[in-house]
Amino acid sequence: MTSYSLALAVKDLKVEFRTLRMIVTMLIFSLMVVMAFRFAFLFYNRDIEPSVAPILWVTFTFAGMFGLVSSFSREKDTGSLQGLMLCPTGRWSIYLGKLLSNLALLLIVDFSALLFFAVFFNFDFHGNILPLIGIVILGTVAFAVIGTLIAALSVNARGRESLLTILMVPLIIMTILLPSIDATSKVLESTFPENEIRMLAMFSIVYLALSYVLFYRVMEG
Amino acid sequence: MTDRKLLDLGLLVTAFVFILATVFMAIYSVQLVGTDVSVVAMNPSEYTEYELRVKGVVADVNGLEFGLEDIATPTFELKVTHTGELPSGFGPGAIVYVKGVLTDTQQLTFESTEIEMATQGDSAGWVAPYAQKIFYFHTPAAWVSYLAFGIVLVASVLFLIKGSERWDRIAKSSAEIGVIFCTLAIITGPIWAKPEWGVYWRWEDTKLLTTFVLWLIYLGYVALRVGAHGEHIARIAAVYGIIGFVAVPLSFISSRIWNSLHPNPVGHEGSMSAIAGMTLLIGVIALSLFFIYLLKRRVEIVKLKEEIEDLKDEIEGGME
Repeated sequence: MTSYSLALAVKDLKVEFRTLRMIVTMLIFSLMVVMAFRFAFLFYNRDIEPSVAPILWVTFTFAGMFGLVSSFSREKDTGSLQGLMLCPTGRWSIYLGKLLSNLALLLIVDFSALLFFAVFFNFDFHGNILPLIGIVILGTVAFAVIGTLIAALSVNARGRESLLTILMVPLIIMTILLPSIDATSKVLESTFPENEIRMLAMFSIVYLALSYVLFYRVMEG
Repeated sequence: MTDRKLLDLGLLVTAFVFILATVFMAIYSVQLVGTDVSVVAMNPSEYTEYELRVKGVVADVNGLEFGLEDIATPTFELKVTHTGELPSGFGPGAIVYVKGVLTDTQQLTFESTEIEMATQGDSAGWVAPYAQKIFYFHTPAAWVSYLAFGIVLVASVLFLIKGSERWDRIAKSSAEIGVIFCTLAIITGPIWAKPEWGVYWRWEDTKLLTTFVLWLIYLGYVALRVGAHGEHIARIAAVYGIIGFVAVPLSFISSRIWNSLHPNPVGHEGSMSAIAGMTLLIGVIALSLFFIYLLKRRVEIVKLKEEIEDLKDEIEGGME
């Protein structure tokens, strides 16, 4: 099962890096979001520090959702989704494979966005860059876990791009976005965000469990 | 009239009677005691307001005595004496409001004085007792929306297990009606919050945030289903209905337990007097009955619509 998931993830990433279709769009998209914030804050002469965490997570979220759509829609558009479902490995390994490839793409985009932010806002993360990366990884794992399920869910519906956003945002507001933003703020103030980490870990597990129970229902028929 | 229609009608009439009872009891819950009141002001020359509402606490069953609390200049002292009997349920310690129109700033005599008894929150009292009446519809509406979303969860699970379209129709209808009741709760909340708290909305309040997110989720659920038919949509909607309902209460509980999102969940949790509790209970029954009626009708309509779609397909199939 794991080897199959790994093979699927490697396949996805190979396709991605050969065509560069999604990753480039996602990177440009995240650059655009950061730039939009940069211009929005151009004449804002006060301290930027309290706004750093929200800006970062809004960028991660929207760039991420933008990329999630393609993980299943590409399979569907090329007609390979049927073939994938005919594989005798169970739906759960398809989910895990997609989760891994999504996670890889999301992390690349998140770290690039972090870089764009540091450059364009001329922001110094001081010594907090390592804990910050930890929080970004944790938040992104939770985001990818639920995002993969929602992407699978919306792939067969009309207007899947906008639908993914509509379904995804309310689910992640309280469970992922707020704890991630709180944790990022705390990390930037050099305090340890214990409760937020607990919450993110809990929701990663809860969403993973829900995906385990529900994913094959989504992929039926 | 068939038995079924009679049952529906009975349900609707009962719901309506309960709604009327709630309205009546909500009016009664902030109650006029009497007009035989004399008000003596210690330093009346400083009054400029022409309409006064005075808040105080009952000191004695036979007399009301209190100072001026919720008016722009709280330094005045008023002595209100009332020689009637207090209605049952209003003992010493109950919050009292006196409302009147000032006729003379020198003598401070009230014209058409009313003494009102607020039943809600014996210890804390409300800033705005009139706005508080919306509470008897706000809370039941919120309760019904939680009930509706709970039904979506149960019906979705049953649909996924049994595959019966009936459960899907119930989930779909319940979500739609739940969104409407939740919208009502979200609209009536700020109407009360503005006079009571001074703001329409408090983002730091976990309860508000949770309800709002729940509303967004089921709005997404409805958006997913609008104009879409078929078994596949039903299945993914069921999955979404389950995730949404599991995630939101969990985030509510965990943020309260770990205090991570909001340090002080704000809620007005004063003790509730018997009459307020009663009114609230009747309101909950009223809106629940109304919800059951709406749900039954909506399920029927959805079923008929599906039959029409099937018939249309059949006709088109026959024409080819």
